[in-house]
Amino acid sequence: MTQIDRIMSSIACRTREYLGAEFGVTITAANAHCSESDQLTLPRMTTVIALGGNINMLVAFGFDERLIDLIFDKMTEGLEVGEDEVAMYREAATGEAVNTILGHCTGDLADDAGGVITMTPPVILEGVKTIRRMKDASFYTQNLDSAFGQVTVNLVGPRMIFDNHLDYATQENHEHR
Amino acid sequence: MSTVDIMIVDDSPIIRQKLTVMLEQIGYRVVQTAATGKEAIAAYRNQRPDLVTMDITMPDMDGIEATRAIIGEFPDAKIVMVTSHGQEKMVLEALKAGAKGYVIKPFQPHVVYEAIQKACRRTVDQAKVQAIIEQRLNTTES
Repeated sequence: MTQIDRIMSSIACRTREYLGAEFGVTITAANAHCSESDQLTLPRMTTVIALGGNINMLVAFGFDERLIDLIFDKMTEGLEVGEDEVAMYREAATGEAVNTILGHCTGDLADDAGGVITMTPPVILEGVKTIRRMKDASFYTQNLDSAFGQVTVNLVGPRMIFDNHLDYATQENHEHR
Repeated sequence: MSTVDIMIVDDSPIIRQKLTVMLEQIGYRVVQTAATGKEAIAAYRNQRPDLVTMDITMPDMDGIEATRAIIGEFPDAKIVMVTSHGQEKMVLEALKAGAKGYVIKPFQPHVVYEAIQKACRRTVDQAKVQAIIEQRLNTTES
């Protein structure tokens, strides 16, 4: 199994587990593929977390709107959320969901040689975003289906050529490669 | 059960609220919250809560570094990590930094309660041991 396969498998497994246990959502299908396209289009609201250590990639999660609604409703049950805070709490809810899933994945993916797998706090990207693949960049995509819509997981790497907003880090990085 | 004053440290406003509601329902008192490691250090100095729940992944300064800093300044501080990090090495790092417990998110009330009780009991036990030692020394000297 390649490292990408291991990562995608862990993400699928932990997403399935988490959405099932916390929100009663069943993942009905999962497909992973190494994208060979020249660009990656991210959904309207995407949560990005960078994984360090032996992983060294960024993970971008996108949920269909109905899933976001479900996650938000369940996570804020019993909490006071003002009308002007709803957008912020929707972002916080998806950020926390992705943080939890990937945190559990780090337990699966850590190896003795690699040391600790670090995680960055979630960054929420609003609005559809397209990333064009430059020379050394790799894109891997996994779609997980449920009755509440799709979860799209993109692995983008290597980490060092991107910032946490999935923009290429510097122009020098592009030319150097 | 005597009241325990708790400070919650987490960059997620949802987690800060959920933990507050949960802990207060159990019977604890949430006296402060913080959203970053640096805020936690400053807030601890001000508030001196009985116990801190600490996330790990936060902007500005992570929870393990913040734990190390707080324990460095206040060796009796009681900190329980509440985090999604599932790596054994991360748990060890947290314990080396001085954390007294570790709870994996998503958290259940009984698990959080047990971790807090255990963290608080350790200090009670140490005080008892110290008192016993002093009593024995006094008995020996006399």
